[in-house]
Amino acid sequence: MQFLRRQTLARLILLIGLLAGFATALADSSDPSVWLDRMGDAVKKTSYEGTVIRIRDGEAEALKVVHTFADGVIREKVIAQEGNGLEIIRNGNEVHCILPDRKSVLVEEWDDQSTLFSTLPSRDFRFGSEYDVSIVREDRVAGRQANLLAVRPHDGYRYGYRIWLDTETSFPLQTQLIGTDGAAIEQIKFAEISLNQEIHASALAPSYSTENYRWFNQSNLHVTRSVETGWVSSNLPQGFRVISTHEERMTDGDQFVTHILYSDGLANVSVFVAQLEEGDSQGESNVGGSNAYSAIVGDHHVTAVGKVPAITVEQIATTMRAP
Amino acid sequence: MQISAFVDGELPDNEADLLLRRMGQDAELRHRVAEYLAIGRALRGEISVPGVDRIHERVSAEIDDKPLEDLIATAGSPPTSAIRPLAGAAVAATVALLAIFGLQQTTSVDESDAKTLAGSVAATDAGYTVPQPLDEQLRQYYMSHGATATEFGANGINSRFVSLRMSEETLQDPADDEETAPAEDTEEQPTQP
Amino acid sequence: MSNQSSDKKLVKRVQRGDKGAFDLLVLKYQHKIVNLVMRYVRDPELALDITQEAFIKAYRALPRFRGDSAFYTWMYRIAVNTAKNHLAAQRRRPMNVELDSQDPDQYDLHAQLRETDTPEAITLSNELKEAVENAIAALPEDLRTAIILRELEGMSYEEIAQTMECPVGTVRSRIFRARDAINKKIGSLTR
Repeated sequence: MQFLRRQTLARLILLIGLLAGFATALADSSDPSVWLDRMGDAVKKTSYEGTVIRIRDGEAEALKVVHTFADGVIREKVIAQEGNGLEIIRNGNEVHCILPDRKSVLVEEWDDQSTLFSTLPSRDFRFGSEYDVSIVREDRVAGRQANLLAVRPHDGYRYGYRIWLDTETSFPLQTQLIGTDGAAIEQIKFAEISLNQEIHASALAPSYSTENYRWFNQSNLHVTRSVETGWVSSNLPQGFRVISTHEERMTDGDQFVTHILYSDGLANVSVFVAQLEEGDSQGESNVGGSNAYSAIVGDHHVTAVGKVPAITVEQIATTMRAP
Repeated sequence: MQISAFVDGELPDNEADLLLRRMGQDAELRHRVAEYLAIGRALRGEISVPGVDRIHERVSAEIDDKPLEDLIATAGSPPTSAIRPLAGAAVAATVALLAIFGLQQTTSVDESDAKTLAGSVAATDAGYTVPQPLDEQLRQYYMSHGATATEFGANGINSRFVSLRMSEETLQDPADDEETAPAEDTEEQPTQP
Repeated sequence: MSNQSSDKKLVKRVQRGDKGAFDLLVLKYQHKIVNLVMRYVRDPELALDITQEAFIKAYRALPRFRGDSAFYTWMYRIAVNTAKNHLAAQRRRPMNVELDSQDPDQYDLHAQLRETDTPEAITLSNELKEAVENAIAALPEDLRTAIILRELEGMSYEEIAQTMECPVGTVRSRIFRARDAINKKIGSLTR
């Protein structure tokens, strides 16, 4: 009898210990990768409503966002506050992009996995260690306690991040993209947010009556197929490797373009190889916040684009070699 | 006489500064510059489009509506102070992480910006930016990159905003699009390289 | 003060809010830019519009111009991109019947870019050229020599001084007087 009781007691103690440890782990992990894993879940499964400010080049843009996740279905609404009041409303896999000033609605099918803040597919694609991740300190964002995580690259070929994760939910309240000089290139933060509160269905409905609007199906003019290619880079920056290769036909062209995707696990660079045409430009440019670099290699026009420093796209583009 | 020398780039710096200051206020002085330039062009037989002499007036009129101060970038949030890892907490880890990105239009960076390669020195990639409408090919590449690179999944809403703003002009009329949309990525046999 | 440093000064003044300085930059380069744009579009009116647009873009971007390259190099890129984007936008529009019936070369981007001769639409300002030449012919020899060495040979004042065996100050004065005299004769044509 005593033996049993001791065993039971021992198990209880163990169990309590485990539970305590688990609770501690939840609330107070000093392992940043744990926080990041939780974040991946949080962005998808947390219901939230708030205002997001994006700052880039000293200009700020506000978006109102609503997100719910129920019965495995994501519902989201994002409204641009400035400009033409663009709205995106998502119900599971169907998305309506409402353009009020053109009285048009664009209907698209979206992948199940997507969210406002998309995450990389996790375990399978983790490779290399081009970054250090650490928890810096506690902070406050949008009136909530947050842990500041720093993701520091090992070299100047990729950007870093600072991420403020809500201590309660691991939801990213603020993120900064950090350039090679240590300054924030871009920042997204919640000015105000309510997490895991009940959200009324009307919050996800369109703001406008779309009665007399034109409806478009975004037809898939962009044809793509998976291929192998002999194009390689003779000097790929450390840590980058090929993720996929496709051939694609752009919407207004008739030639197929080879598209190679490189990644270091976090930063991604696409390389497009096309037949050279007159008027093709070379050199640096920037699109949507990503750097791009075009080069002429033989009789091909090579363009690298990605959210990486300019030297990275330049190095990759200029070192592509034909099969 | 100063204006004449200024046009030839032969005015000493201190005089040039003073003259520039005066010319900033005095359109007549600037017009004199235009006249001297016109003489040179005529002498050299340089051809020009009728009306080109009025461009500077048209530009002046348009920028008068927009004081430059309004366009000068206001500072964003200053970066937080230097990152220090908590004692012993720094962990080398590979990362599955969210990527956030912007909704800007295309910008161009000057090719002569200094860059260092080979990772040993942190390179500066902050060039200056020129707001311009998007080069069509680059726009397509960007959208394709977004659709393929899992950094913003096919469908990160942010990237959607970018591509929507870019593609607003290209919305096809439903009447033009008789065929049903073809299936998504068709996985064919890999072709020979 | 070289041409480049002159541009640098002007750019700095614009960045400090001096719109007149930008006016000077436009005055300086408007012809060159229009001619550049005409290599991409045939219609002179359109070229003027695109040039205007390019300068406006440059003005808006100037706060962020760091001056690592010459202003004209930078302006050149902006103008080319503006012209090409206009062409790309034209291509995106659905074909209409009228276009089909026209000479395809007229709308062929590649043909436009191969154009090395000036398109017919550019007109020589003959009247002005003639008036200037007449005015120069009427100048005293030392003034005429000075202005020709400057405008046609591109010589610096120092070089002209050596050629004409006179002090630099005299060169400066002669060139000014030449311009002044020409201006008085052709004044109405340049306004």
